[in-house]
Amino acid sequence: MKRLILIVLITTSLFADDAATILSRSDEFRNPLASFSIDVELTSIDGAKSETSKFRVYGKGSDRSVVQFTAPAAEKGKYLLMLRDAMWIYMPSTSRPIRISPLQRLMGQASNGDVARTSFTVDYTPKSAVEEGAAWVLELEAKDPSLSYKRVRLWIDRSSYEPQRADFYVASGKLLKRAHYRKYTTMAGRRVLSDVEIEDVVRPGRRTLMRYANLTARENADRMFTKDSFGKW
Amino acid sequence: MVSAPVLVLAATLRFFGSLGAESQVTPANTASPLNPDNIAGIPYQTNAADVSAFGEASTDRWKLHVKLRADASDRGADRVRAGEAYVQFHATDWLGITAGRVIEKWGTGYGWTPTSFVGPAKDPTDPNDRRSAYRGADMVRADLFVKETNVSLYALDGGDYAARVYRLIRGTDVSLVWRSGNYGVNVARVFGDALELHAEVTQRRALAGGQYTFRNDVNVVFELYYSADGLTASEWNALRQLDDLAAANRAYAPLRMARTYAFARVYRPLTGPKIDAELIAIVNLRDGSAILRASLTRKLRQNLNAYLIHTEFTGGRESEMAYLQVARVTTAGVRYYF
Repeated sequence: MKRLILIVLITTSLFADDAATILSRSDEFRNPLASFSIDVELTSIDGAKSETSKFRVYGKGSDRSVVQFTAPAAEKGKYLLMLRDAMWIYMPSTSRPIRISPLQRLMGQASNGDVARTSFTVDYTPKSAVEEGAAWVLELEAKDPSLSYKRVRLWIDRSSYEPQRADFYVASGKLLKRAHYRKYTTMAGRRVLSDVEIEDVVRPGRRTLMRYANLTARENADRMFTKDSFGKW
Repeated sequence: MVSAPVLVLAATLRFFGSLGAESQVTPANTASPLNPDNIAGIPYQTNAADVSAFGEASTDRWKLHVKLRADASDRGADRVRAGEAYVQFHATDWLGITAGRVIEKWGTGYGWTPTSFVGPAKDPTDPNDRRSAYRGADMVRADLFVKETNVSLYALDGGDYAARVYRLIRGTDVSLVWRSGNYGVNVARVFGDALELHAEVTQRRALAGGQYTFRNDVNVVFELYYSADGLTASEWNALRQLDDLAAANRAYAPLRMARTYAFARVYRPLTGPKIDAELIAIVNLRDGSAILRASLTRKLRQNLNAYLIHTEFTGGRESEMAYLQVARVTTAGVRYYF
């Protein structure tokens, strides 16, 4: 019996390690550089209406990022800082950074984290990985109960490790959001994700397109990633 | 030797801002004991226009930042002023020096920021400063970034000194602030994915509040504010004796006639018709009188907004808001962003 338990524990551990490795390799398509800047164009579509915003994201490591709002004109001068789980927004009109909660949205179906965060590994623990056709399906569980989405199902191409699709579930178990990772391209000498479509599962017809461009290796100073740094770099 | 034009070419340049025009209707409150027969001379209508322009040139090492604002009104003198104008230089990764006029950003409160010893005082009836009217303080500032702790030291115009220490401690923003004999602390923390709580305390003022975001994007802000600089009940009663009406008019300042106030804001972005709806209520907790402000902002184009703001004042005959010299305020305006 003890031997059986030991075998189960070892198997579970190995499996978890495999899932973690798969997730880590998959994350490299979204966050391939240690310190970088990248341009993000976000188009929110609701039926026949659409609206576009543009951002420049400065990142360092997998858990520090600053989002600079560059368009439309009414949004210029705003910044969003994400530091591990904490977020602040700075608007020139209020002239001070405001601590915000993850539920406060950036635009359309995209949460602040969708733009600012480029890695699943930081927020989620892979609990299992199963094969489904040409993909692995990873079950991810939120590390922190404060995260908006407690569970994520992530489809990853088995040959390339490219993420294909992710389903986001809230604590009640309800599926709220689905991300389709549509297109990959070469930026900064690496194959990276360039097009994502986020679908509102609860309100059909509402979706948000995220397009990435101009990934550049850039040495971002540590001082950029503190609340006090808004407007000081 | 690097010439100035080369430095400018190497810099990132940004220019943005907004221009707006608005018309405000303010019928006089002749029922106010301070304003019989409108002796305060409240104009029925005021028209105003403004332009605010932000310009920035920066490299990794230095930054030049200017905020210019021009105002025109049919009730006052036209003027142009620099809200901000400073040069910043990062001597090292951990040391930055700034000289010039800067709008400082202290405090965690939404309606009031008691610990804002250096920055402009917030107006709780217009917490977002819709006309971008804030003006900075002249200073030389040194910013030190040491092991996730930010220390800012200030030499201010007029000979004052100030300091602030900020650190994120286990997910909580903590700032200690000081300016020539005044000191305070402010904190903020997010609980779960929707609730933020914040507080500020100084020797004479305190604030506690938070905000909650519902799943349908409705955002609610609530705050309690105490100021020992506000009037006690007996001081308010003394002001109401009106022995000298002109002096009483000068002494009367809304939201300073009591020591405790409550603030609530409900905000709803309506993505379909592109209308933002906001309701603000500020209540004098001693006499129950209140300021109620409702606003609708319609996005006409991506860079063009139109807004309508209506403010009503409620309260008994002897209450703070009954003494306001205006009966109500209605504002309609447009703002274009570039």
